[in-house]
Amino acid sequence: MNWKKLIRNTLIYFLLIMGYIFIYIIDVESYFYKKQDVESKSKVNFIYQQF
Amino acid sequence: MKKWIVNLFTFHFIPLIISAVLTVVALFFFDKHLETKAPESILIQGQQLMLRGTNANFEAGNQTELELAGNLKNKKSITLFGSSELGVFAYSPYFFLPDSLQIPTVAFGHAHHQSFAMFCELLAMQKELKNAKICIMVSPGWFETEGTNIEAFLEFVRPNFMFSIINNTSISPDYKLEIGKFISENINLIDQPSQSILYFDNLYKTKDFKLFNGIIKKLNTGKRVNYEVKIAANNLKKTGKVNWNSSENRIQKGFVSAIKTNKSYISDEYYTKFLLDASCEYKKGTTNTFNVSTNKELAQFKLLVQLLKEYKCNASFVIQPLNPYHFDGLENYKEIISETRHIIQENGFPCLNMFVTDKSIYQPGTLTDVMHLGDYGWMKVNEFLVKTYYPEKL
Repeated sequence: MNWKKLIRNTLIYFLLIMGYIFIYIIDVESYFYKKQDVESKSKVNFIYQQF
Repeated sequence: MKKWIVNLFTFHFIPLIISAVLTVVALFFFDKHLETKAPESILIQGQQLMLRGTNANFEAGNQTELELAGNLKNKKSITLFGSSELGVFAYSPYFFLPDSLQIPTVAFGHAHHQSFAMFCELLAMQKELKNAKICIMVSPGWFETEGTNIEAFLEFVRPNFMFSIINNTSISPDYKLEIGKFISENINLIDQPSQSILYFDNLYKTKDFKLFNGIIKKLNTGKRVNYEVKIAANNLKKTGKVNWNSSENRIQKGFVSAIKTNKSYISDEYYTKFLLDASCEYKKGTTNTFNVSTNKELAQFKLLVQLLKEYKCNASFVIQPLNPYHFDGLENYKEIISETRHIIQENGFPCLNMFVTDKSIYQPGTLTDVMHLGDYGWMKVNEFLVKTYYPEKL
């Protein structure tokens, strides 16, 4: 039994799963780089037609 | 072959299971030991200045936000939420009621200001909602859209409003999730989403995972925005009573006699500017059919009415008409207007329904053009508002 390989792979999988959760699900980046004073704008300009 | 399977199981499958368990344990540990920092508290203080007039949006800064807070807090004031009909007309309630009956009235909005944006604005002012006199001007044209669009949402729901909602613990999480859902559906259309926008997006994305949801809430340290507004003293000039019938008749006759270019009761200026094509030919308006059960605007309108009911607002509604002389097929609107009325009535709010499909019932002058209220229509709204909120002044 190659314990070293098993532990290494466990560690890699653990880091990959944690990284995915923190980066893509919890979006931890948005809390570290505060954008709270940024005023968001729409990429689409809706035509302000008469209605 | 067998060795290959054993290797895969031992060095990949087992580590994957162990790491998944470790991840859950680590997340629980992280959630338990993550300190919740109190958000920075921001108090927007000031004085309500407006007792009459209209604000197109809240982009002018904190004072316009204070005007909204002040008008809702001032239980003598009527706050009107509307869209493209909110122009400068002498008889519109935000001029006529203060000037003729000493009733403070202020309007908020312009074209594309629809149910969901109003819902968020009111949610941000949750503390001032109880007994606030609020009138929602419903346009049938809203139901032709996919609900509030993202450009209008970002224009009307200011960053301060977002912070006010996020950190107000007395607001139901379901309402916050509705905002998250709206933002998630439109996130790709937002340039440089702010922290509060990303917060709502993440909140919605993780709604089914309590653990992630809890961590997101704890990581959010944004701002806690509160409004402290001193309401204005009513210094409007004292005036007499209004003779509604004679005023309305005079206004209607004046409008009808002024029209020279058409028999559809559309003002000459609008008719020649917007309804004649290059060869000066008039084209009638058409309407779409609606699916009431899937209409997004109607769902957002329901949410708005629910909010007004929950926070015990003294709300009222006006359903505006479309010009039946101009539009063909107004019967298409019957079901959705009927459903709108039903939602209003089942929540016990007064409603002035001006929508008609039949030319013979339509009162000329109700609209100045094909869809915007004219002075006669505004007078009907004024009468309804006085009857609803100040019957003693009738």
